[in-house]
Amino acid sequence: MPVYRGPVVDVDIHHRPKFPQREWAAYLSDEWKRTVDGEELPFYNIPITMGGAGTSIPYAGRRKDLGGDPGIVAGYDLVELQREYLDPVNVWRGILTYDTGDFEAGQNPYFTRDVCRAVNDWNLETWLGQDERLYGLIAVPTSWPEAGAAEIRRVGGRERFVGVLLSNNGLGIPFGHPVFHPIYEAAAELGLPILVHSTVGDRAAETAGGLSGNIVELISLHGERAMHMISSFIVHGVFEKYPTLRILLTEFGFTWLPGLVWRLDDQYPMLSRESPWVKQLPSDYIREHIRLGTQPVEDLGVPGGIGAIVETVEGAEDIICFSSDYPHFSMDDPSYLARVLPESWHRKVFCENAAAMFGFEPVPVGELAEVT
Amino acid sequence: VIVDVGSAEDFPVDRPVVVSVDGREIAVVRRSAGDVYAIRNVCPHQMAALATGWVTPGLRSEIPGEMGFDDDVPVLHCPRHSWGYRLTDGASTADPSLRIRTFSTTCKNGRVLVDLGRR
Repeated sequence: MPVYRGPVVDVDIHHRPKFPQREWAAYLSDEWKRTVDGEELPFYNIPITMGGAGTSIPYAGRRKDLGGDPGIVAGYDLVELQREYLDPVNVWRGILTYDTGDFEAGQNPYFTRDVCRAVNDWNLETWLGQDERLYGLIAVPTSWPEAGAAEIRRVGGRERFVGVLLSNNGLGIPFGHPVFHPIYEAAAELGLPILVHSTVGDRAAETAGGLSGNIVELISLHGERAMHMISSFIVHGVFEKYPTLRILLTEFGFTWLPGLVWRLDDQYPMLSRESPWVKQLPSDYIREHIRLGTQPVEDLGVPGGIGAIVETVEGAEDIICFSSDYPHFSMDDPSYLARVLPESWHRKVFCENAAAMFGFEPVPVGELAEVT
Repeated sequence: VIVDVGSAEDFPVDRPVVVSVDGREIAVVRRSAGDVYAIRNVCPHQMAALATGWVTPGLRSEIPGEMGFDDDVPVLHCPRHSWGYRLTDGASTADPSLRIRTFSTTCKNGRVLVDLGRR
């Protein structure tokens, strides 16, 4: 049974305040505090989670056995995260991805801009720098990309921010559309990659057919959204316009990759007519600019099965990056992933691919991750 | 070998016309400026008859989101999947390594002449 004992870079560790409405609200601007405050226990209407599919999953979709007090939504306690995950799993670097990105898609763009600023300031003050292994992402209002670009420029120079999070979609247009390009321009300017995360209850783009009524429906179709996003980045020439930009899509799985690559490449003659600014085969853009988080990974029950499918895409082992989804209920443990992936991919998938993307260096040699 | 394939008036502007020469089908396209192109009448993708497609100016783009036409490089599009081939040299607009044979043409005394030799 293949085992991986080397250093792990996990690109999807969820974290949150213990009581988001109150803790994030403390970082809102005075203007917004005064607008919505006035009660002893104010309700700020920050979108924490929009619900949707998964209502049958107890503990708000988080693992009951993780995070400390099961009466409180897991992911708020750094000590628990260290004890139950970072230390035993040998995490060398981890990307904190917030609990969900619902707050990025608030319908009031002005309030959402302020919420994102508050969330970023909260992240800087309460999490980033507390553990040398953990790094953060800049939250941006996806309903107002220009404001998102301004927020990237405001905090993008802080060393613990190593990327930009695009989660819930406030505009209902795939993220490759030119309306989002100000975000990519700012990210490219600062050398920051983009991390696109799947969503639950994203009214605009949870899955291609519409909102799911059941978590199985949603998880099984997660890949749809990623496929659309990747296609959108390519046809709109995002990588021609921002040639240094890298985009990681996580919690979409990755076993759908071959089908997407085949279809996009097959359409290339047509693509060159509709989008003449596209100068390379889609598969070439994907290899150079796109990375995919692993979770959730199917167990095909056939040793080497996943490798056999995905390696039909040349260079697939350079595209995939380990993601756990801690502490959500559908979390994948590295030991599980090590069993289903080809052993020859382990080092790249568990460590090197993500380390290269986020600029983590030098990558530890050997088995143990020396945290510096 | 130079073959007379018809009068210029036999070739309506930008409407490919098939001529058969030595068992080979050739699509002949006359453009409004009077220039004439000849290309093998088969798309290598799925063997469709190219002459049932359509002609456009070439497209060019240096900046994503912006494009322009290149009238000097007309493109014949396959009717089945819109694959485009430059009439000037037969190269695919998507993959220049994919190329359909083209033939030199001349117009002389109102007649269209196709040179079947190597270009």
